[in-house]
Amino acid sequence: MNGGQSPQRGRGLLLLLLLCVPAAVFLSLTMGAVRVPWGQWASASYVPLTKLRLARAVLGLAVGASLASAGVVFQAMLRNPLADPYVLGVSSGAGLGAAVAIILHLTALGPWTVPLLAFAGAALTVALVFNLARVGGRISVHTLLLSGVILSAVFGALLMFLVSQASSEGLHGVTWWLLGSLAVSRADALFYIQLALCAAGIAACWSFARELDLMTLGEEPALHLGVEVERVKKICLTVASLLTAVAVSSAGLIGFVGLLVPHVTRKLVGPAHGRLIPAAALAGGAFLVLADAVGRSVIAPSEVPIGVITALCGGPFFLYLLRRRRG
Amino acid sequence: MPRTASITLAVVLAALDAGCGVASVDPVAGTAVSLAPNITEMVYALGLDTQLVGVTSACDWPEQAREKTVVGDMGRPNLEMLTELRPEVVLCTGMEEGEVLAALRASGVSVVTVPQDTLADIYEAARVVARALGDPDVGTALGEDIEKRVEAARSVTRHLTPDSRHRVFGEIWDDPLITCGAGSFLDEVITAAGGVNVASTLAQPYARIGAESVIASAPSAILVLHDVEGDPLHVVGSRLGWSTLPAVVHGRVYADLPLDTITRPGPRVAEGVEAVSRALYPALWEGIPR
Amino acid sequence: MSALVGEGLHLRYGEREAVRGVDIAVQTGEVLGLIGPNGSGKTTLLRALSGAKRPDDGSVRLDGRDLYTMATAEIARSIAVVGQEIRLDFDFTVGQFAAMGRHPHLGRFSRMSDRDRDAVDRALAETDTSSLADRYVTELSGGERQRAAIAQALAQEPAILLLDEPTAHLDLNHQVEVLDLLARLNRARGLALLLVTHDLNAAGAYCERLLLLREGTRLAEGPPESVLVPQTLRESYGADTIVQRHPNTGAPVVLPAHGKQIKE
Repeated sequence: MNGGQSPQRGRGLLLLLLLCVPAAVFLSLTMGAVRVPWGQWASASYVPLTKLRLARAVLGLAVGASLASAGVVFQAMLRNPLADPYVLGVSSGAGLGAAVAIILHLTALGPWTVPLLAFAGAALTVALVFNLARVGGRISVHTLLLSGVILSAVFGALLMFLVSQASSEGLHGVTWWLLGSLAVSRADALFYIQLALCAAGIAACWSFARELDLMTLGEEPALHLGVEVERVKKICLTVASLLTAVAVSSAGLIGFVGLLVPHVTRKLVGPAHGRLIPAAALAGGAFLVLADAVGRSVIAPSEVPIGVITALCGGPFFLYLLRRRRG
Repeated sequence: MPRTASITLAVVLAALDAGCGVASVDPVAGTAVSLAPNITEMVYALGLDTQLVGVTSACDWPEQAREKTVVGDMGRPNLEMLTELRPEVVLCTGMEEGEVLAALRASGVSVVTVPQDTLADIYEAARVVARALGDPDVGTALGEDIEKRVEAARSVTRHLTPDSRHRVFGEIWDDPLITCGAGSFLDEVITAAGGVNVASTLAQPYARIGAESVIASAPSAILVLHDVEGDPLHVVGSRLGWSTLPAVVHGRVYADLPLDTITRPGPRVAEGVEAVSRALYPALWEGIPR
Repeated sequence: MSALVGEGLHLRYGEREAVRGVDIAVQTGEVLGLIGPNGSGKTTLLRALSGAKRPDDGSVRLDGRDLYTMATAEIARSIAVVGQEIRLDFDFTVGQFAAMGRHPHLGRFSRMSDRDRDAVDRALAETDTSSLADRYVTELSGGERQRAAIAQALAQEPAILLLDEPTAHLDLNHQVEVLDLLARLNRARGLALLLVTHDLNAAGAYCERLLLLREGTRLAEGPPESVLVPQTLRESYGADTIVQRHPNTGAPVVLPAHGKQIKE
């Protein structure tokens, strides 16, 4: 007997996922509008292309890992294996912020204007949602969800109004932003800040792995097992929301990753968060990198927006899940 | 039917008839409204601007055009204002809201779609507008004149072999990257100016293009057709992977072009073609007056 | 040695008073039964004692210290709770589930030590769930689930175990199993037990002392023989009963006074 140690089921898979990441990156350096022969990424003629693709891959890893980790946290806190990081309305707030910047042609902060306003919109949503759900020092998860739905509706309406008034460039810009994109035009300070924030957020989520395990039993059982439930709720939900906010403000709205990846990874490595969070992060990163590579290749020289690819993967997958449950 | 009922019915029907329908009043003869800046320019170029009673908010050339009544934004004309002006003719691009155009037609207004997709369309547009405004001869003359000037500009670079022509990337928008594909008016402008459009294989006239594809096409000249903040060469050249493009290396990133003459399918297109050509091949244009 | 003492407890849910001025004490190593009709405030009282619901008036003290000033992890090292409903949405193994009981003893970044692993092994052995260690909790039967929950509580190595209706959904054989287990734990580990139950006979058989609640107040307290008497039971439950002695154990057995009328 080994005192309840987590079973072997996850260990091998975690290693496999660890290998998937560099494999996905190298594949994405090869694929695209121009095929770069395997191993030739550093040769003089391909360097510019490689630089571009590498930046996209790194962003893809960060955003994919962030969305997947946030998804895991939300699924644990809401005790629902089908929750996703956009459930509290973070995506609507970010979308509205970006739309304001794009459609009103705001350029006060140069190329940083759109991501910063998107993040501001997302952060505002998080603050509002938490405030609405706070009842005498405690956060009601039920009210949190309801507030998220309401804010999504309100921000969605404002977004539609802005879209109706937009010039054609504004429309283009907003549409493509909403579909998500890993395009990196500059590896500037903001790029590195985004990467650092993603890494920090994922690490923070991981450090709460045991509490998250216990929270899946329910708030009162977790309390009885010594978890400071209100504190853990506030911290974890805030960190997961802000992590989502950073991801969305960097790459637009990419759906299904925060839902699909945690769900699948849990089936593969088990529900213990000490293993689930790193596994989901790795899987999410690799998935997004591959999705981007496919998006850049299939209709080159044009690109399929990455949000479309993730949706095309997610939809059929859930159909399959649904049928399996019935059968 | 009892008398009171039939009178009531008559009154109701009359009221409905008066309330419904856009303009059951007669349009003012010889008046026209333009729904796009290039069309407005064409009207002025034809010398028929006295007939123009309405323009869009984007119609800014010539200066006098700004003094005309504004009936809405480009692509979004206001039906109520149009009704109030009661023009005989409405000149449109065809890309406006279908219902507005249908309502105008239904009220008896002559809605004329002005062609604008290619250079040939512009020459034809001169004739179409002139005809709609009642003076077809002026249109024929202007159309021929515009064509002559465009061909004159084209002739400066006609002798260049395909290899010695610049590979041009026309950047219509930067985020996302949008360029001019096959069948677009800009594609023809670039060709007339003596360049080869790197995006001519893209099927759509206005197409999104991936940064990778731009890099792979190695353009030797870049036309920035939108506003940029700061030095265009730096803005474009500092993009990841763009610094080694021939256009960037040789400093051929052009942003201070007269955008209105290049991007508007109107009477000043020859100036636009010449501006682009001069930027691409300064040596060939030396000594030729504008 | 610890004692869990509640004094003058008042607890409300909104406008409704669930517990009115109740004193209760769980002494070291004793088995106390908390009984009473539905809505009498048993579960609420248990939640006050476990640290889950702060009393609106009165105090709860653990070894003399105010429970509600203590950190939840500190409380969890002394008090373990086995609740009525055991929600299992995610498929942890029984081993992982039991190991969760060590959380109050672990720091944020510490891993399980040998000491921790031994505590979990012992808990599994005592609840006879060692063979289930690799099974998923979502696949267990009612009785197995109950035993697993007790294993998790035991892994906390508490001094006091609070149980809310531990035999509620179990078959007869499992009921006996669980109660025997609890009695054994009480004897072997000196584990104090507070048992909330509506099974009067189980309360009579296994508890040293009973506390009978009615509408949030204490109606009777004392050894089972003194509490489980028809007079008191009619006052609290409104039912007529006969109380006899169990032929083997001598514990009080409560029977309804009237059954189906036999047709003459």
